[in-house]
Amino acid sequence: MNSLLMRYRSVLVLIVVLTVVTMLIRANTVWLDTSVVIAIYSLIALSVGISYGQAGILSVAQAAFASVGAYATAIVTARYDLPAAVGLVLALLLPPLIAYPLARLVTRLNALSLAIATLVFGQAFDIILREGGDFTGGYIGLSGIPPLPFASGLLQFHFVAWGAVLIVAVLLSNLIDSPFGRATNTLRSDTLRAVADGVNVPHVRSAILAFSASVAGLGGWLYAHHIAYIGPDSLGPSVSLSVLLMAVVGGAQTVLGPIIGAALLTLLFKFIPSQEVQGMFYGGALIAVLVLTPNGLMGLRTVIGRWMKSSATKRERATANVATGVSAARRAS
Amino acid sequence: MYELLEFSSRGVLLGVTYGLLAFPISLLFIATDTVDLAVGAYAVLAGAVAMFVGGSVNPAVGILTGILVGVLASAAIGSISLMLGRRQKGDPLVLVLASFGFAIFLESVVLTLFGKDPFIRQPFTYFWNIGGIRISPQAGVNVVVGLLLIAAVYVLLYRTSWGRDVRASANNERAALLAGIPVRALRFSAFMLAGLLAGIAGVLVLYTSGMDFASGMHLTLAGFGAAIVFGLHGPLRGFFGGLAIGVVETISAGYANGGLASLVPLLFIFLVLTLGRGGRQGPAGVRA
Amino acid sequence: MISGRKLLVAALLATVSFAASSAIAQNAKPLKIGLLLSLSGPAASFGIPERDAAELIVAGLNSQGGVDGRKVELAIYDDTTNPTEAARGATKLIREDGVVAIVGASTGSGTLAAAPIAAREKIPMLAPNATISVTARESQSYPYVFRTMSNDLVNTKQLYEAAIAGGAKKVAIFYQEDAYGKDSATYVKKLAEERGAPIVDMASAPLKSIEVAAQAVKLRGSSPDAVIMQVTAPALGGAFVRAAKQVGLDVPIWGSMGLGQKSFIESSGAAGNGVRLVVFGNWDDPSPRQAKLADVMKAGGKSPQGFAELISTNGLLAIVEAARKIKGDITGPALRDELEKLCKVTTYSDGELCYSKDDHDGWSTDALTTVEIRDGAFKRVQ
Repeated sequence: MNSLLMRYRSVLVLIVVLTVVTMLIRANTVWLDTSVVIAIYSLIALSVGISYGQAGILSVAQAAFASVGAYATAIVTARYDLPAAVGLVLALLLPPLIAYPLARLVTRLNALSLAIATLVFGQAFDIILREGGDFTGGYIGLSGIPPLPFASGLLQFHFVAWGAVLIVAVLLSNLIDSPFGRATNTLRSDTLRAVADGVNVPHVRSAILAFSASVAGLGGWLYAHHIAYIGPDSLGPSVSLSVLLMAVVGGAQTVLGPIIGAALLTLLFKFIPSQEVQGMFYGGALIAVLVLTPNGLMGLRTVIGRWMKSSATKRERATANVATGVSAARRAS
Repeated sequence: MYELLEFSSRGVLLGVTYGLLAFPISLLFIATDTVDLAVGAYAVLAGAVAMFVGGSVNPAVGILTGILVGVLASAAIGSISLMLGRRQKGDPLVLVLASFGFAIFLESVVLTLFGKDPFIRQPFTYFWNIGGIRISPQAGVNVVVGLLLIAAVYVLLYRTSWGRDVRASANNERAALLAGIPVRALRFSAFMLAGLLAGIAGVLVLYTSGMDFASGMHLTLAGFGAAIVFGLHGPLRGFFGGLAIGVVETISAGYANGGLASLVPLLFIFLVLTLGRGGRQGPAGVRA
Repeated sequence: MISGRKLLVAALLATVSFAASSAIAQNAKPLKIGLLLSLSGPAASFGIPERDAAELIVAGLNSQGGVDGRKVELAIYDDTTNPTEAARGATKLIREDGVVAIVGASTGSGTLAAAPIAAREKIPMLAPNATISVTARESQSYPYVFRTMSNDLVNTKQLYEAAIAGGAKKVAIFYQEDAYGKDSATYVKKLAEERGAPIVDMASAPLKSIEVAAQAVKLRGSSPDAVIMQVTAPALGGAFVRAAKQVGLDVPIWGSMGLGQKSFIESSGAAGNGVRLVVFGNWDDPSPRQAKLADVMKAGGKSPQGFAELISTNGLLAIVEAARKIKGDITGPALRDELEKLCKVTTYSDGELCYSKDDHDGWSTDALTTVEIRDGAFKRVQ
């Protein structure tokens, strides 16, 4: 019982926060809209958390997978008048079908080359969407995507979207706590050890990327039915970078981190002065968060914990830092 | 056939720009094992300053001020890297993302200070005719500067004690520290040097094709593609990577249509990365 | 030709200032208008002047007493050139700021993302885009979307006809890889085939390209006698003009209206001399009406740069004009109905605004002028 509580503590925290927030904003359209957008970004950021935080695959193409989901549902619902449920099946299945072979190609690469390969994939995908003619709506995109029949109001959509986030949070909590998840985590920190443990490294990493692509596709499905329009700019390469930032700012290795990051960066836009100087505030805030909490906001727990320890441990820490510095440098190469 | 020759030679000239942008990226990777995504933003900042100071004072002063500002900007990210380094518990990606934040910051600075219009300078109004191909003398300037910088970076990395220390500390930080190498100061100086190279590249782009406030990320990615395609471990490779991408881009723009022409260079980078040996993962913990 | 016979804005302002002196007017509810524009990101070069001009016009209106005694208030939202933000911005402007009409978004895709929301909330959107599909008849948002400039079909046709008027038989096209470039290039191709003089070659480049010599060489290979440039980015347009000069593609070059900006002349340098454009406004040699907007902007410390100033003020003035016709409460549906009845209204652009039930495009060929670059300025071609 206790271990179940431990496993799902993040999900429970999320449920409590959501209940409170929903009570506060249930009558306010603007906040409900913001909340839905946060839920959608949370899903795509969680997909980064899964691929990067769990398996160490830094994919800069997660928005492309979301885009596959969004376009799939847009095409079948707006063009062929099929139910949104068909769109959902496609949005969950198509992205992993693209991600798995892609992953088999690129997971042999070192971290940096892998990131670049996915970035290039994202850009190439962007061009293909734009050149897709009538099928993808070309540069203009597709409009007139119908709302979900069971969630036509914003409040219902808010529940659907956060329901999807909760399901993914449960799955991710299970993954982290499963033998499979532990295997991927070993692989993240020490590939050699994982090989020695008999893990089929390329397959495991590719399967994780495929799972994360499916989660991103779910986000894309919600996006299409919420905004009612999908174009190449909607979930383009710049969104891939944004969700990466969200995951890292919040803490990519935790369940709640990507969600916190998504909420924070989305809300940041609401409160910083808009217009030309916006970039200075956004960029500045980003650097400040990263410098202050290099492991993401969820990492703050350990930072504060360490800070409260007496200075007697200081010397010990200094040696530890050199050691982790070396291992970090290794991981970068 | 003659057309192909013209496309190739124009591709080489375009590739020189990419190669110039690859210098700071591969130098920084060799020295610090990190990637600075704000390199293109330093180039834009240097170009914008060179244009405005050059317009109101004189071009030479403008160029020098522009490059100096580029160096100062890179010093900022160098300081951030030191701050992050102090609590190196985190992920190497954090600096990459912080540099992305800095790129956004600088883009906004350039937009606020210098406006949204393109920055460009064109001192040459005549062309050289080389074997029937008309090229601007500016292309000649770029090639000469590119070759000089290759030589300078090579000498610096492989013939000076600075270069030796930089390579040593990148290979094994702990060993370097134990050997009394001032790792932190070296890291910082590598960032400044990258800013200097990016600044020079920015000024040349200003005089060649021009740029605007939003060009930073495009320039970073162009340089990045050039730097990574043949492996990040040598500035020479980065330069030739730039030439290769320039040629592929020009030939595909010359023979293919529409989006396909833009797709080909991307596929080229993707294939070289996934099929080539440059990006392979070495045995765990060993630099590939 | 353009005389004072129609209600020019100056006259409008005078009437308003008279109305403002009456006491009732002071207490009326303000007229709230949303500006949903790209103030950062790639389309900021349109969004910023769009905002500047709108703000100055509103300041002018208010100093004259507002619209029938109502102060005009602007609520501004930066969509960062991102359709998702445009959709959020529409919700925020309507629900939180309570605007009754929106001018925006700066990009066609931004408008397409925001329009379904505006239509659902019954708030008219005045779209400063030439993108055809923005006012597509079959779209569910159609009733609430009104264009504030001539559309791409009109603009492109005018450009093509101007280019072949001089007798050019072999036309080549250079276009930018985006919705505008691709669609208008395809359209010119179709027009040319109908004329029996097919386009001889096409080349394109991504918006952010810094070097297009290869494309110029490619077009040179088919020895055209005119090149049409479907480009809106001044840097790319300038790069092509310079490249054409460099590789010896010495034929007349015709550019689209997006290039009608000072920065295009600057980035073309000497090579720009003789390049002709079909534009929506010309600040070097403005028509009397455009000169009025230039004066307003100069008084506010800004100088007009391109057609962005015209299309955002077009939207704003259309809303103001419709609002004047409403007797009671100004609501979104009431504004929409009045907008659809607006006709023969003049703003700062050339030509006349005319909306109807079946036409939400507003402006047509009479808003367009042909200009040529001479000695670093745009000169009107008669």
